[in-house]
Amino acid sequence: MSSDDRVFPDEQLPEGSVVDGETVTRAINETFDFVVVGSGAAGGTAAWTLVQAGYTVAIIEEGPWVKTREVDKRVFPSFKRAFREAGTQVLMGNSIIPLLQGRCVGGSTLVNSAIVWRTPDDVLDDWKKNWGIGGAFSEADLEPHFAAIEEELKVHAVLDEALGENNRLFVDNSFKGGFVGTRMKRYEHGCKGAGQCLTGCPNAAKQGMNVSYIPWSLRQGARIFTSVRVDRIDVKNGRAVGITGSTTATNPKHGKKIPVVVHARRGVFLAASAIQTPNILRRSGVKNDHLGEHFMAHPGLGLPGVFNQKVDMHFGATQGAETIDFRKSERFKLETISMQPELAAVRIPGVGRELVQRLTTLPHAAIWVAQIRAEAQGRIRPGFGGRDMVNYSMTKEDVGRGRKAAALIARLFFESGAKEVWPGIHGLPEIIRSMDEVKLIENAPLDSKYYSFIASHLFGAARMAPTEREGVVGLDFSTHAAKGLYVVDSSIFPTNLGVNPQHSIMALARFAATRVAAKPLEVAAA
Amino acid sequence: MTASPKAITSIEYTWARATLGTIYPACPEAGVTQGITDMDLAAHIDDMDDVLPCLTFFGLRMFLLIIALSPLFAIGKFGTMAGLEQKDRDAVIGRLGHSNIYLVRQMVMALKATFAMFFAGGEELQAICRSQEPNRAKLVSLGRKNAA
Repeated sequence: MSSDDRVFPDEQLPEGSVVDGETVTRAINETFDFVVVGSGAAGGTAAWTLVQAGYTVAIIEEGPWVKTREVDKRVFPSFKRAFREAGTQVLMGNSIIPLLQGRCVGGSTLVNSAIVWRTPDDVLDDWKKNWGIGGAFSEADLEPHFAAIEEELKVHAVLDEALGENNRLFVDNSFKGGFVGTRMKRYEHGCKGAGQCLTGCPNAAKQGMNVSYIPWSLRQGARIFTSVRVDRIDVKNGRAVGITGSTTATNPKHGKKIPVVVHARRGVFLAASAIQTPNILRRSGVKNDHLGEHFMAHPGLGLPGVFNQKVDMHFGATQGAETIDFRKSERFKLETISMQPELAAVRIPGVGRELVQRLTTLPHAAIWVAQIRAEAQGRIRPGFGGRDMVNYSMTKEDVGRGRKAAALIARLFFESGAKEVWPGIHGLPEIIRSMDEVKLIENAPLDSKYYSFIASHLFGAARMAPTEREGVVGLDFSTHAAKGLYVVDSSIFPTNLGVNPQHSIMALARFAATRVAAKPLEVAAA
Repeated sequence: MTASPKAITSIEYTWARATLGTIYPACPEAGVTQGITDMDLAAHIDDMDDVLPCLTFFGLRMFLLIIALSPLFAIGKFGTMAGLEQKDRDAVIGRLGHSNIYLVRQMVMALKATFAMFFAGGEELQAICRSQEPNRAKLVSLGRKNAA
């Protein structure tokens, strides 16, 4: 925990601007111009845009606010507070794929690596030509929004002093793999290379929503309700008029959750993520054949490589190097990632003393990962006990892409001087020690059960389309079923991107909120 | 043995110690003198019960139960994990972890992943993995070379 004298952006907030559902004792019933559900990349951006336009805004966040001063470099204390289901969520299908989602103020921007990519042109072209949403926005429409966010959140490439050996090895050796590795661009200001992006930045250098748009919005009059779960969006006469929910904690006096009702004069922005948004819509009475369908992801496959020299992943940008050279041709993107021992342990072969011994060699390990632009589509459904259930099975072709990327990473590790690679593929040796053995990876079975994929970057399940027959959300970002109910997270994306989605999510949310904010009152509140 | 957790029965805790202690034992020759059973495992299990969805926690309990009762099927020996000698426990976990049946090896993987968050967060391992402040000067100069 931090004990220094710095004042972080998530401190000294205006009195009354944070209503903490963990401590509130009385029922909440308030009215604002807009209600924003979710405080992650989409919700934070929408809230900040609406506040700047002069509206009163309530932000509803299901998780707690993990303040910079409370950030804990140990994984379990951090996961249990900041991650949905303490980081134990999975996608269920042919195989079980772990999934990490932030559930806290800032959402996944508290716990991701803040990687910036504008929406690729080919994706926008595809959406326009094949999905009929060219009328919603164009590349030129999004340009000023990308630019504004990049300026506000200090986007720049990783600097020398925060690069770290894991990233440097990738960049310096990428030419040996026949591609160009570059330093990532990130939302970051003053990164000290703490290597703790996945458990929250202890220096508030990473410009997650929790230290940027959310506190900025609160300082301009917005209010956030934390640890409050939205049960449904209230719809009256075909218009969204607010939300009904309750605190996630029970009142110790009577053991019940406290009801929360927040009215919206002008509209509700739903930004709860591609998994939660469809189920909230369902609970709100929205019916559509596409609701919960077409869920997509970027399954990731990481390989550790062990070097003679120290790599010390605990220093340097958690993710600081990448290549998109294979994005179009092979549908994967290569990245570095530094993992704390608690997370890396899963990718260390073996059990028992062997495993523990290998854990102590982690200072010599680098981890490089492939993000697959998978074609598989999954399905979101309500699960037992209010949970969200995701059914998702990678296709054989997707697994083939992962296999190819794994072989490429293994080869690059050996070219870079690694003495061992841990492929983590069932049926293969736990450790491979030479370039010749990379062939074993190339010939591994095309079945996701043999691999250790982890899902990140979630899309679809409430996709945008011109008509109700084709999708859930219209070209004005409002659902076809209820006006004034705007969906601005990645659940509206018709496809995945092949690059990290945070920037696309934010630019679209900013574009949508700007457009809605400019609507005359009589139109918005008719 | 530390006090039993409130979240599971004492017999389950005995099985949990036998199984988890096999996955994450002490390894003094690598500088890790505390295995997972030397740490406050009971408190961690109670902590997990507090924060995990009940279905997830129930699943972990089921995995511990199934593995505890698996020695007969895994290595042909009667008894539970707790009743075996350590080398036999190692053999059971090794066999299950490499099983060709996906769900069987996933049970070991699930326990390995879930309890890594506790075991690898221990002071000894953290100290080993973060023991040396990296040579920043070297990193800077290498980085510049690349940027040039």
